[in-house]
Amino acid sequence: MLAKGIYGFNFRKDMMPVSVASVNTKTGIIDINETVWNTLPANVKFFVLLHEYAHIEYQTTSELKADEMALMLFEKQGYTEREAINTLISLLPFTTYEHFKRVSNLERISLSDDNQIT
Amino acid sequence: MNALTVTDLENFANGKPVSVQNFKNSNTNMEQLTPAEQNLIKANLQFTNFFLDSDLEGEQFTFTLSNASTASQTIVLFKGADSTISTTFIGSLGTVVPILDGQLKPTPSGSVDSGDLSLVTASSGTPNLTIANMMAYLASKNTEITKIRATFSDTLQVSQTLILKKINPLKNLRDDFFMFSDDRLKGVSDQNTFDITKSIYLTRDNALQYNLLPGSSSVPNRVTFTFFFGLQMKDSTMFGRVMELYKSAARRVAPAGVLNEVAADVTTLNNSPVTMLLN
Repeated sequence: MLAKGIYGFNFRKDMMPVSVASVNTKTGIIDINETVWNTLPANVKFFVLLHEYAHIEYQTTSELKADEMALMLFEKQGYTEREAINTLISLLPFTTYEHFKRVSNLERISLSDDNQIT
Repeated sequence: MNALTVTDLENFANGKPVSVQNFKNSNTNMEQLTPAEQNLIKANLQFTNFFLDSDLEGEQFTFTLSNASTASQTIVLFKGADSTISTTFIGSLGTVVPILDGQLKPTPSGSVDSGDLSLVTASSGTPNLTIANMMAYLASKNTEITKIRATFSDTLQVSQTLILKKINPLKNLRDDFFMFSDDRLKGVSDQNTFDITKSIYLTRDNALQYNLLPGSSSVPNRVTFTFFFGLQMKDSTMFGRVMELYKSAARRVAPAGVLNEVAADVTTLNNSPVTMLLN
């Protein structure tokens, strides 16, 4: 059975450096890479948490979908799309195609939103 | 169990307290959690309720803790009129004993007068009182740390740090720093070897945190105490004062002349571990 929400945080020192956080879909506990976490600004931390939150809240394993949902929630809280995109750029190691795709996906959404405004 | 909200997450990202409600009424979804996580939440609730319900001064504090290996146990701590701290351990901890300097005398009822507490060794019996005694000693020597004191153990053996939540602002607190220790000792197959694998502390911003520390393996004749200071532990004066207390306590409870090292990374006070090695 999958968790229905986020229930806590699990600070770990044994996570891979490239991983900032992950969520246990059964327990709803977010694993946080303590070493990396302590170096991040609050807005970056928040977007990371929202990304993990989105995995649970929207029951999706898709990183792109989680990014999109996180972006939506991020903006609702008064943060900017650019902050979200910069978060991905700063955190992703860009060792896989998906990493590039995730950034471009948010860039696409951002551009789309800009077009709607204009 | 009430899940964390977006606002909770934002608060957490910003280092602000997260609602105390998050882990109340946690029974509904407890089955989703591992036994270790359930134990943590139960223990956390015990402390939360204690804090919220207590005036934290001149009172008797009682904790009942679940320990799968030794059945439930109750720990009662109270401050006597003469400012000494007394501890009573009921249940499985009634067997407390071996001590280093012979001054800790359990009464027939299992209560322990902590007027001159010392370290309980792991050579026999239940080693769970090690940190309890240490903290009681600290409390007896510094009134600013006497407002809260407690120790318990459970069966958790996770080698990770888990922050379950933060709790509401506490009442009548003047202290900058409070600490709880949860000394889960293991490696007792070698009777002179035991590692403290986790501790609990309450930070100045009222964050109740469980630190489950990786055991330092089986190093014979070595005891490692690792204390984590809170996220808001930025006051170097306070840090230094607490360190002195720990050093003092370590020297006090350690076998004569065996305090080898008291180390701390004072440059990074956020979640800095302070490790004392006694061997």
